[in-house]
Amino acid sequence: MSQPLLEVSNLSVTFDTLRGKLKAVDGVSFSVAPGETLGIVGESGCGKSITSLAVMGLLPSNASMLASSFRFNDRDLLSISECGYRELRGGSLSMIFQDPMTSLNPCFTVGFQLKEVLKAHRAADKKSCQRLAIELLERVGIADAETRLDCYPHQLSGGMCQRVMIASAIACRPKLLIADEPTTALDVTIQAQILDLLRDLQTTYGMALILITHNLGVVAQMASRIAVMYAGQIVETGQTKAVLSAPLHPYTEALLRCTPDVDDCAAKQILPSIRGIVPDLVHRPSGCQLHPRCDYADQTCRNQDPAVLKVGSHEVKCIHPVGVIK
Amino acid sequence: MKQTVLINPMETIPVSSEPHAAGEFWYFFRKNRGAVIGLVTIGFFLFVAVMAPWLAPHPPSELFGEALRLPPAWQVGGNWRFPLGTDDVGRDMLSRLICGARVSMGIGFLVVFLSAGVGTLLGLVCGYYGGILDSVLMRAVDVLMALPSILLAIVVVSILGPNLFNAILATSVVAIPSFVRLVRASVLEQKTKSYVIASKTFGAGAFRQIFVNILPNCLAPLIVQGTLGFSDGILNAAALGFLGLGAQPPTAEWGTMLSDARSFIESSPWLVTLPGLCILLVVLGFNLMGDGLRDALDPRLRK
Amino acid sequence: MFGVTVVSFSLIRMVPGDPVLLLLGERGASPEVYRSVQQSLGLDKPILVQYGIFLRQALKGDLGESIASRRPVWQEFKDRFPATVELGMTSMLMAILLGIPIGILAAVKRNSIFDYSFITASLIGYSMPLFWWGLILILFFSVLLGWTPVSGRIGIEYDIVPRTGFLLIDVWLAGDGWVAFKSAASHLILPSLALGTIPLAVISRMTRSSLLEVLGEDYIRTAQAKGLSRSRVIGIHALRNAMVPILTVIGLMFGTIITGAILTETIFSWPGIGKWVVNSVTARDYPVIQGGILLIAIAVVAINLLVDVLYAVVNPRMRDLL
Repeated sequence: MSQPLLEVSNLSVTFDTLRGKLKAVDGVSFSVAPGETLGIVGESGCGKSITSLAVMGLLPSNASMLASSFRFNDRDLLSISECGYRELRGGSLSMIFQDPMTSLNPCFTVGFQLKEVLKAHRAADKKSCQRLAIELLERVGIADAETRLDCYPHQLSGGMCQRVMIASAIACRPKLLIADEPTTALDVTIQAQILDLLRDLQTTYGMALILITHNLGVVAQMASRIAVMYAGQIVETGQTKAVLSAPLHPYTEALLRCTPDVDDCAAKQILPSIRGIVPDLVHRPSGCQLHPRCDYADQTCRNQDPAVLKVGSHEVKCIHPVGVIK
Repeated sequence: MKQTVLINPMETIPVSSEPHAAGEFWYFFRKNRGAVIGLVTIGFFLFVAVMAPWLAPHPPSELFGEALRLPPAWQVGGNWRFPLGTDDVGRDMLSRLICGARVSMGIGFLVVFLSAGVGTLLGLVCGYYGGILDSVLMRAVDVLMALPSILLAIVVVSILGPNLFNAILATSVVAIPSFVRLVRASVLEQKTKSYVIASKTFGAGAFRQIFVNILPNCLAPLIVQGTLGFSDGILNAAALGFLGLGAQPPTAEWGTMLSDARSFIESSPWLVTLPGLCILLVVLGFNLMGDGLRDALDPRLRK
Repeated sequence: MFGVTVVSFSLIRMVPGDPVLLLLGERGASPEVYRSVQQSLGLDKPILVQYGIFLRQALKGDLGESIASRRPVWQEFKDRFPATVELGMTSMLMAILLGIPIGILAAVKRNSIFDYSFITASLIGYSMPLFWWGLILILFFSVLLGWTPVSGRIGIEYDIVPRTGFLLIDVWLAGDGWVAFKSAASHLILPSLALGTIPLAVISRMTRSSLLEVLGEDYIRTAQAKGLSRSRVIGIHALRNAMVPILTVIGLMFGTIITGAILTETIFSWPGIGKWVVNSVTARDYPVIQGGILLIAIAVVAINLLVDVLYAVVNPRMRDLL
């Protein structure tokens, strides 16, 4: 087994809020191998974005982070200095965000913002910056790249802005790209294009990708491995095909159930939903976080924090996993 | 075998009772320490102002010939009979300051009352009716706002003659444009809302529309501006007093007291520091309260 | 602008007190002398004609003569204007150069002791009555510490020929050099400090709140994710976007400075247009009041226009709107 590119072990992120301490991420562990695509799925508010911000070292000031192990590319992220982190960000570790229109600075041209990354990490001079910038824009599929460099973000469409974001994220050939809901704010047709672009770049540069989304369809296409998050915890991890065809965790099962099937002509039934609501992260439920909403829950689930069970490369954090032969 | 339940009725979640609007407002106001300090300060000065005749140890205009320019009691040469010292003609500072509170608070109330009253009326009319009336009045407002406020106040006072009442009038005139603008903007915003149009289809007349429907919704910024208008009013009136165009001696008004004290700045500094300090505290109180009100009334600004 | 002329004209005409009588003193001149003086001042014609003449002459640049000094209003204005400008600009410069960095620091060090003391200080700063603050500054620096002089623009032992009207420059032009410059500068410090305090408080407060708002935006997160240095993120990305409200406030502060100049000049005996207009109101010097108000209003409008232009330069989105 080759050394994992990113290794996160027992990560917890707690926010200091007016209402009390909010544990947004609770004991999360995962790893990403070089060149691999990991999909992280879950509802809004389950902590997936916070996890990625933690990896990038971009948590807000009222957040505190704990982890047993936190390594990227053989560097220990727990003991790294801010300076060192800055070298990584935009360089070997990159991130793109959900809303491309607001993620670009409206006061500066696209070219300016693109060249910034180049100057910061590749120490390129003016002429080569210009050349590289044009190349990058062409690489992400923007036609008429040279003119576009002088455009302002508000002059571009959402899809184009996202391409620009991707361009600046891959400018320095990152080893790992984190994409936080990259297509959620875009039209469906553009979605497909962006996803294709990401896959294409991955193949070309041998880049690892963490794809964060709440859309199971997207993750099915793109990711080789998938991690399902709920209430700040990872409840199931495994090969995408395995998890989606035979889920072990009741939550994953419920999620899959909730995805409407277009071909199902008997769809005169009410759209299924998971009963109950997401728990209050300041006052968490005892034991298993899902137990108030889980059909299989019993007394043990209420009292005990579930251990992680392994079935091959398939891991599940549950006391009564679905369909496991006891 | 696992059970598959397709239809799961949503569990009823208890909804907390809708917080009362005033209660919610008070909660946010209370949380802002500055605003509470402001409120307390204003309360203090209001109290002093109302109780002035009973609180002041001496009549403010009484001259004590034997006690000219005495320093405050804790300094050398001071006398506890005149706790904060006396001025150049022998009047007790403490009493003058206390009565000055009455004058200043009175000024504040009158100025805000007049300017907000007239300004709101004009703003409502302009906003609701629009047309030529609106254009003409707004031009006038623009002109008035183009001139520095003190200048305008000075000119108005010079037309009418320098005394406290005219100073109040002048300050009110200066404050009217901002109210007009504010109310007009609010009215224009509300006019497009559905409830106004709906009310119109029910045959509501202009009067009812303006006062019953629209006005209550313009109150929030109006109240904030009113509070800040207090501080501006007091400052401007004191400035006029300082320039000799407002309250005339022997009336104990803080600004006028400062102007008298100018020549004694080296010999009797307390004559200068004390009245100004009072102005500062009152204005600070109103500003703090105004800020707190603004935060409490505008949900977007809540942290 | 037309409105301003109407207002300025009508307002001062309403001022009671006959300037002719004032000029002649209470000696009780004979009717003929009275009429001749009145004629020379143009006050005998009907009001509307007077207004027409005023307008016509104003457009030609002739605003009449000061009744008190018998010199053209325009000349008097020109003589005194640079003094006010010097005071105003120094105050504004101080407010901007100190205010923006302090505001940035407060935003960056949010909720620290620096931030809290800053908020308190700025609140006190704009709640203070200007005329009192000036006196307190005099009390402290001139009387108690003896560091700065109390009034005027320069020590009376210096007789500088006004060439540009800006003493700080004229001092060098006249060749009196360093010592005279120090005198002029020391006279300028205290009034500028007094006048500039309120703009300083307002500008720094606005800088802080605008910057805080901008720092919460998505593109700041992107800039950080690109691994840019902190100073670059704040100084370039954040500040540019925060500038619009800051510039608005700076524009508004010009008005405050003009208002404040009137009081400041009175306290510090600074020979500028503020003091001039105030004195002329007391003296019922019509032409001065008319002309003075008109000119001041023109200045205010011009400044507001300038601020609008600056907006477009700073924020490209505004350019499209313009």
